Amino acid sequence: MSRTKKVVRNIFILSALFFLFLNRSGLYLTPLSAHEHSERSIHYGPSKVVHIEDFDGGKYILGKYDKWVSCNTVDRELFFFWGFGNQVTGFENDKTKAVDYTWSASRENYKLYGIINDERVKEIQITFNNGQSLTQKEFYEDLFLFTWQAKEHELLSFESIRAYDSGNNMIFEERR
Amino acid sequence: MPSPKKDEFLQGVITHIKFPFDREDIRAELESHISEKMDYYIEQGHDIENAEQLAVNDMGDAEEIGVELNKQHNPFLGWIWKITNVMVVLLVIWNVYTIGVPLLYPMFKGNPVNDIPKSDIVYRIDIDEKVKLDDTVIHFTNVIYEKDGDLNIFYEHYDTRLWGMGWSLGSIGEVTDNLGNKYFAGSGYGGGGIISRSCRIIENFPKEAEKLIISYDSYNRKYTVEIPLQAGDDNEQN
Repeated sequence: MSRTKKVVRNIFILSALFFLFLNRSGLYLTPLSAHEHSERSIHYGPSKVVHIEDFDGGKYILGKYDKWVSCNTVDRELFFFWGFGNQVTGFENDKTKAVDYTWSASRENYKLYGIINDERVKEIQITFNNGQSLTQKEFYEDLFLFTWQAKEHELLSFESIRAYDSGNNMIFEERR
Repeated sequence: MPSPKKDEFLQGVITHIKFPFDREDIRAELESHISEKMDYYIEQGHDIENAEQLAVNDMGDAEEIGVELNKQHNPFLGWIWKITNVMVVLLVIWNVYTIGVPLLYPMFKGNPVNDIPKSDIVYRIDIDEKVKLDDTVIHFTNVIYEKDGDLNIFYEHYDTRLWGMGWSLGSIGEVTDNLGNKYFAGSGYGGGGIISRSCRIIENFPKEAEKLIISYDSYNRKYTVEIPLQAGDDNEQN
């Protein structure tokens, strides 16, 4: 067998082995593929992806599925691949609240995300325990996502969330 | 016996071969050709030294041959071949480890149903109830009620996508009985492998319960499995 044929044969074998490797390693070629498999294997979704945002080492994937709102994460693995992150499933939207939300942290990466149930809401502001705040005026359909990082010793956590209408009147507030 | 003319010729050819893994094969082949020619000249009456010189002369210009052989033994193709060979071996090892081990694991692990001593069993029910959650099949296989009031629900689960990976199975659902009791507490364990054998243990389960109900209702996935419990003297094992 000529060397060219041997190389072609090897490439065929490698393709088959690589397919098995990918399937058994939990690695995926795209962030969305990792996200979809993550949801399906935990028996949730499929959610409609509304927004994708980068963080150091992965991506946040903000989405809606029926009455639930989720912000799954996927992690970058081995330079080229994507793997499951955490917090795959969503929270159930309480439509009686102008804004419903949840927050969580994984290592130094924090996220607060939610849904706007009251169309008057034009601005959302979260305030941290050190007095700093973050504001969002442009939403992803009716969803919003705040992300921040805090080093271990900072223990930077949010203290309150407020929603304002176009006249800057507060129409929702919740404190931790 | 050292043959300086032959070695000089061979070295002259080999220095042009860029793909190192082919050098020995080329050297051996050229040596073989030279030896054949030497044998011919020796048969013709030449001495060894003369035969070697004539044989080497017949081979031609070492540099010209080396350059030509290097083209034929393309180093780029050679390295691709070599690297893909190594990758094939590494991926075979990886796949044997990640597919073969989980496949074989349940065979050596044994069936946990048999871990409960017969003398501890009040009744045992063999069932064959399968439910599906997305790509996961949950197969309820046995219910064993023990003298200490523990009810063991045995089930195995596997992924219908033959080589699929994902999150491990969490709850099998809410467990109730026909008396209206709900069982939140309890313990359990799961095995590894492509077919994972697991058990949910409910403590202080009433012996008089006649039906076990397992209901799953989460994120629009639902199933209900009802298992008649054959309690009573007829089903006692000892």
